Amino acid sequence: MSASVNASATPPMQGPKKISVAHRFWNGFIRYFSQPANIILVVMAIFLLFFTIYPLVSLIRSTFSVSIGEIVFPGVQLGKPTGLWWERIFASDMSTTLFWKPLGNSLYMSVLASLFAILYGGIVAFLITRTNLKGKKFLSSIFVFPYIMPSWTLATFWQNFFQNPSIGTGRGGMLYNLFHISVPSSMVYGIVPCAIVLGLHYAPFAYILIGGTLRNMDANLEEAATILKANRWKITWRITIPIVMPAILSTFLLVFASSMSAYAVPQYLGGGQYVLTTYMKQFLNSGYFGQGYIIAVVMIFLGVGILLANQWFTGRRKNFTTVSGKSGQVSYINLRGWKYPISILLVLLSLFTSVLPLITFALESLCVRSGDYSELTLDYWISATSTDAQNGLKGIFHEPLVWLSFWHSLLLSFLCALVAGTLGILVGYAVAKKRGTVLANLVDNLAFLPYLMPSMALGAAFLSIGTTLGLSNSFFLLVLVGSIKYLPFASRSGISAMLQLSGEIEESAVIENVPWWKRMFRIIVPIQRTTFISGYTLPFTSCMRELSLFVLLSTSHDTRLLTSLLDDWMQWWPQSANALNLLIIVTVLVFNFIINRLTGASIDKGVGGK
Amino acid sequence: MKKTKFVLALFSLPLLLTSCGGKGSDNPSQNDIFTEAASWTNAQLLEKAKAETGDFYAYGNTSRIANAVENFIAAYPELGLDKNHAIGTKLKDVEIFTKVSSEYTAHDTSKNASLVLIQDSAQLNSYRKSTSMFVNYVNDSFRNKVAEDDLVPLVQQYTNKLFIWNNTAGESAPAFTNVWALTEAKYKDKIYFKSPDSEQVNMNFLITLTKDSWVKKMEEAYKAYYGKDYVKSADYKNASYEWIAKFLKNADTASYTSDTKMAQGVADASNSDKVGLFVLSKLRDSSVRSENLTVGAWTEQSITPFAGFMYAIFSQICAKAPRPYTAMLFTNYLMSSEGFAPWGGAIGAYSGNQSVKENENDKKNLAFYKQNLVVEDAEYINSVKVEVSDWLKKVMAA
Repeated sequence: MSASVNASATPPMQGPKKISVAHRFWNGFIRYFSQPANIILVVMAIFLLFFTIYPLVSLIRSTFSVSIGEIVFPGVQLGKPTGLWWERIFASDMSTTLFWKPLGNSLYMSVLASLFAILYGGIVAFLITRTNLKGKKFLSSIFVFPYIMPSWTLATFWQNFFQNPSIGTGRGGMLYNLFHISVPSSMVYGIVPCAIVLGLHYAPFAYILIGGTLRNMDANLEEAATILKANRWKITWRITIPIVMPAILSTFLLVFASSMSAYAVPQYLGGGQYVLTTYMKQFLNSGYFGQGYIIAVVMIFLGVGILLANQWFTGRRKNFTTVSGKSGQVSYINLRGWKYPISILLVLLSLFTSVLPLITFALESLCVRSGDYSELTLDYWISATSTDAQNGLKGIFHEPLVWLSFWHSLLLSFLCALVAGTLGILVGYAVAKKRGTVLANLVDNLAFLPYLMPSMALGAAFLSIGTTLGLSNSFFLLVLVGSIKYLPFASRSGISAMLQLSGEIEESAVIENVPWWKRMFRIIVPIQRTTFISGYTLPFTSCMRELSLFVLLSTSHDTRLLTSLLDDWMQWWPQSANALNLLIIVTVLVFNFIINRLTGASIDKGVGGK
Repeated sequence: MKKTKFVLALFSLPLLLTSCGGKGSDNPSQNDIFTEAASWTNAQLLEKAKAETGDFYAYGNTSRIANAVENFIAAYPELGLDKNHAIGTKLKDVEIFTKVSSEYTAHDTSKNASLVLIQDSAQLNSYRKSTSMFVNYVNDSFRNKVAEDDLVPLVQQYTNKLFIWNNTAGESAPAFTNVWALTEAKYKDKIYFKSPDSEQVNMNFLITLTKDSWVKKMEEAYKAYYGKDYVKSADYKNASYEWIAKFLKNADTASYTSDTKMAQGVADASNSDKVGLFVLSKLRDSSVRSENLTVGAWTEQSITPFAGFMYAIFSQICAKAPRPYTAMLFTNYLMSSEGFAPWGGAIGAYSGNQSVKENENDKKNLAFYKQNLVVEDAEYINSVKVEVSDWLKKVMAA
């Protein structure tokens, strides 16, 4: 009433026009989506929610349902829900055998492997990036070889090298045959050798991630400390290590999760000691999906726990900016007289873990009889007719299936690397820009979730997706699942790279109204090129040697892959399998070399071999 | 509309995970054709198969399925299939079951497998009882040549794993004629046997051994070896359980993960005191010094009460096969001498068709092996699988 009186008594004031709720919402919407980081986060959240949560939900559902293989259990009915699998795993007289003891072994093995990888890879990364060590380029090139090899090949190498007639296979290995040295069984078989082999296999993770951070570190920080008369030890302890701590934690997370889900290494070297994956695989192979997936779920939750711990730690810090664009100088620690002995020691170690296995694969592919180097043949490589192994196979160069599978594996790895690597950069950019928001945390976690899922379970979930969407036996489905599985590699390196980058670098371009894509291509990507490229090379390398993920999806002519052949041949025809294994490793090395030549970056050089 | 369908398809995904379990969803007209075609000749089947379109996929738990498919399309060029459109793929049993279960629910069945070769009799038994995913096809042309027990499900071939030992030590070779010898201290860590946890057929062998008929044979063998009656102890349920526990205690189940490597290893001169239980077919491999090996089953006395074990590979047509007539023709082909060639060229594989000639280098025939080896019993395995395998896990983890 008074309002209308006032209105008639005095002329209305020309105040700001009232905006409707819808208009306000629309403005907010436009404003929100005018930022590329928000668009990326929303799109990725939707994409990842479906392709990661659906497999996870499927996995959890399976732990409460009865599949055909499980109807042999008393008291269950096909298709009816049951809690029996959880009871068997956690609260039955089988719990200790099936779960608690293997869990203890898995945790022990994974923690040990993570520590070993961080120590070995981290020290090598530090020596290469921060000291005047000799032979950096060579060391940097060969240090990543163990990661390129499938982990089980490293395990067979370990066995073949240290084996002696009194233990295991009863045959003499290289060390025994050459020097008559017999090592104890505990050095060849058991949880500790498994952890060492996994640590060696994943040490390149530490090398890449920790080395990447060290290499990109702003030298101003150390320079300032030096000016303030801090000694080298103090600089390392108070500046260098805190800066690389996120990389150390990321390495721990990756190596721990990988080691927890490692099956082949404990299978080869476990010496009868069971880990969680031994039973998981056995359950899945027996068609006991419920119990197998409970173990998978436990492993995922353990991984998520470490992921949260990692986030809690990184969340405590404002940021980890190490690239500010203000300094390019790196002050190397002078190793003085230790320069050469350390270099020689590292070269020898790297040759042992990186080059010697390749030589043994090559030799084994030439042997008429495995382990007997007195009679060699090139038949398994070049024979145009069936070899003497009576397996119907020609030399691998003449096997049409090898070339078909080779092409498919190469194409698949390339496409997965392209998709995962690119998405990883985008996720890294968006998560770093919107760090701390709910959506950024969600995308960050969802992007990492596939890494924690057992490959076989993820493959089975995508088989179901492919069947429903009419994508069965299609190459597209392989690319989709591969890209999602390896997105964590790319997103980790993307986030790591972006967190190092000072906001000021992009801000100056924003002030100049430089469009987003130009800022990305002209500023951000060039600065963090090496780290980003590891986001492409790691998926490529992993994809080339992946088996479990693709095995259910690659059964048609158009989807044949090298690793399926390798898996089959390794069981029956070791010479051809060794030749194939070498082909895969050499392919990745050549790829690495080409990338190195074209971009100046690679798996190894991402760290700083130059 | 398309978008709606897509969204519906996405949300219906979880339902599909367990939907393959129901029995009776089979298409009756599809079943009729298998019944009708049982009496057809190859020429009749070929006529129908020629009219079929699309790719022909076969999955098998044997690498040689790829060769068999290649030979098949070469034998029937009229089918118009080339190696890009007719593929035999080696998969493990669980992978085959998972694939076929998924394909069974597919709307578009054109990319489905048409035929599978499966090794795990117990799981196949469960699938056959609980679903209509597989069709057992037996053509009249070979019906009478297959043993009655091998018709349903159809046994395409048998494979055996035998006790084989290194003979380079001559008189001191680890030879034995009674399986109870393997429980003695002198065989501690001298026996190689792939872990039953990772090799389903090895698990099935041990489970079958607990069957009453085998328990009786094990008691008799005990008496023959020790010269006294078997007396059940509190630790073991019966003689078979006792033998299994003591055998596994002496066996090395971890060092070899491949039968090829086991055969190569046992044949090595450094293993002059070792015995292996692995596939006989490994002896065909040029990388195995077979002259250093003695097959227990081939010795004069053989081994009491069993010289190893045997399992079948079963041929089943997929109910949702996109090329059912081609699959039937392929079944006939697999059951012929020509179709069995990829396996029959070497010892250790025996066609389900008894008229197919066995490899002349094999010193015993299928009839002998059926009598002297532990042959998988799917029904029995399923009835005690949980109980025995749980006990085995505890024994192995101890």
